Amino acid sequence: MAAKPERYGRPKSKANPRPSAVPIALPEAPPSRQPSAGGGGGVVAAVSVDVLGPRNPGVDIGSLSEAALSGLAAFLRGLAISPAALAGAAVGGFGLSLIPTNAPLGRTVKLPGPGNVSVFQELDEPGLTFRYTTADGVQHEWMAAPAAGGVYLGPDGKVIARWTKIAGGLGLVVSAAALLNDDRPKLCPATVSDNHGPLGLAYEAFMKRLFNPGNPTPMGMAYGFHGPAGNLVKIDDCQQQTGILAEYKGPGYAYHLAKKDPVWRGQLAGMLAQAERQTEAAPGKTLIWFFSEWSVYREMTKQFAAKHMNIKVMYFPMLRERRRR
Amino acid sequence: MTAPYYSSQRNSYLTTAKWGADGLDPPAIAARIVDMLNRTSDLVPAGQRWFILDQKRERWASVTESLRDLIEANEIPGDFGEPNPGWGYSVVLLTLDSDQGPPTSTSLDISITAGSNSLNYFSFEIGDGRNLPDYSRCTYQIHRAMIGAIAEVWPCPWIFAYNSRSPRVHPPTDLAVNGPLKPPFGGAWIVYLSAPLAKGLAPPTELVVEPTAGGGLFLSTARTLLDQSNADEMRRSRLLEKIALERIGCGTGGGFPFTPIRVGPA
Repeated sequence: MAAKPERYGRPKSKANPRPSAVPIALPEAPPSRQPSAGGGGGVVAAVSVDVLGPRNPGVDIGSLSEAALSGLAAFLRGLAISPAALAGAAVGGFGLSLIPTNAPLGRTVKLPGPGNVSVFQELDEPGLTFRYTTADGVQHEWMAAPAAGGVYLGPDGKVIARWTKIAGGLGLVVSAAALLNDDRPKLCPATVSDNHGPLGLAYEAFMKRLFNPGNPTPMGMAYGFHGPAGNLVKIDDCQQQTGILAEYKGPGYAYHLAKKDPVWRGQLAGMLAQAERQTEAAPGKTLIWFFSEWSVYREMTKQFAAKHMNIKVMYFPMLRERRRR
Repeated sequence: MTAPYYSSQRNSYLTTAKWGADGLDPPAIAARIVDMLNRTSDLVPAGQRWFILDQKRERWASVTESLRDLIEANEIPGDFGEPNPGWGYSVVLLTLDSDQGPPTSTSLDISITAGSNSLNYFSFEIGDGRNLPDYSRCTYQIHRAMIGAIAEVWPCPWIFAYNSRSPRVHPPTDLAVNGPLKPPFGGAWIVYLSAPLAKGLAPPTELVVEPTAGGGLFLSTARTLLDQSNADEMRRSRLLEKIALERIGCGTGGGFPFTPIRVGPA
């Protein structure tokens, strides 16, 4: 079993949910670069992947021997329909993809197949960031650190990527099927596009990475709930492991609060109305409002308490603001 | 009396009302606001007058300006920036010395959301929200008069006035029997029940009871501000809280319901 990631992610250490390995018999030697239909078909038959539906985890690349994985990578390479395609960033099929190391680092590589999966490898960090959309329409981001054996684990502990040798260097085999078939219980609703303005955007990005470590809600996305009359109510974030909801209020309020000016009164009216809508649309859910400004945090704590609103309030400044205090 | 802003001390008296879809458009909302302000004109502190928040231009506008246009401009946008007629209009009214503000500890402060297809509410308090109110102005009489005006002007089935205090000053006897005050009706002070909600109710004789001509009821713990440190007043407040819970019920999230959970006795 692969070790836990060192920096990111939350693999399950107990009861590895990885499905039992699919019996395969890959050729010891990699097939030719442009395999014959027979050769490719033989591998497909051996892999025993019929249909990669939403509940089909596909090939368990974590269970393959190095030789088998290398053979599989060679097969994937052979799926390139032309030399031009082979020169591209990734080739693949059957829920698997191969990213050769001659593909440039420091940029996003879009993988073929379902789930709109893309992989980003930092120039100076060993981790990989996966962005993908599950069958329920929810967009995800997952940061995976390299674990022992050159593997990367997905949010539910399955191996989603693994380095292997290919002709001329290394390649990264990615199992989009394993990534898309997340076995964890779904505690959050689907994400929806959020088109708010630039105010508070940096704070939201900062907090999202803390609220779902390694698996932040993508920027520009929020969670949609339906109010009593069917109106869509936005809540900034939802913790995948607990279902706790979060609303982020970044800088921009304290100045007006100090002046007690009409802008603040409008902001206050807006926040109270938003709080009403959110508590009505997500009854019984724990909802936390995070504030980056101390005075606003204090004021809203008083406001929510006085108005009997079932919302927890927390002060959490961005690091730069923290140093200033 | 003014407390330091960052003090955690709070001793507020708030009046709130909620209701469901009301079908009100900006002209109808403006007409009701004018009606309400006329009914409560004697409550305005000397030297102050009513202003409405012009949220688009971020200024205080006199209520003698075109209310209808100001309300129309204050339509609540959708959460995703889309046109959203469903969430109604946000109206903030304050009594101020001038259009430069700022609000003071004697200002009358009203927030209204009306015209929504689901969540409408009215909130009234005295003070600027940041400091303790001026208790020479924050009285039972002013809140009771405002509640009477709200009941006559807005389509709300219930109105609730309460005391929100921090730190808590519960008498030990009350705390031992009832536990700490809880939302939504903890700290109950004055309750208005419309006729359907008051039907068949025989209120305890300890409460101040004022029937309305239409069959509704005003119920109060006393004709003074509620004092949470007073065991007898808290006993009456608990009776009122129980009636409110029984007749109005809790919202889905444990807060005030926008529409009554029950109509008539439980």
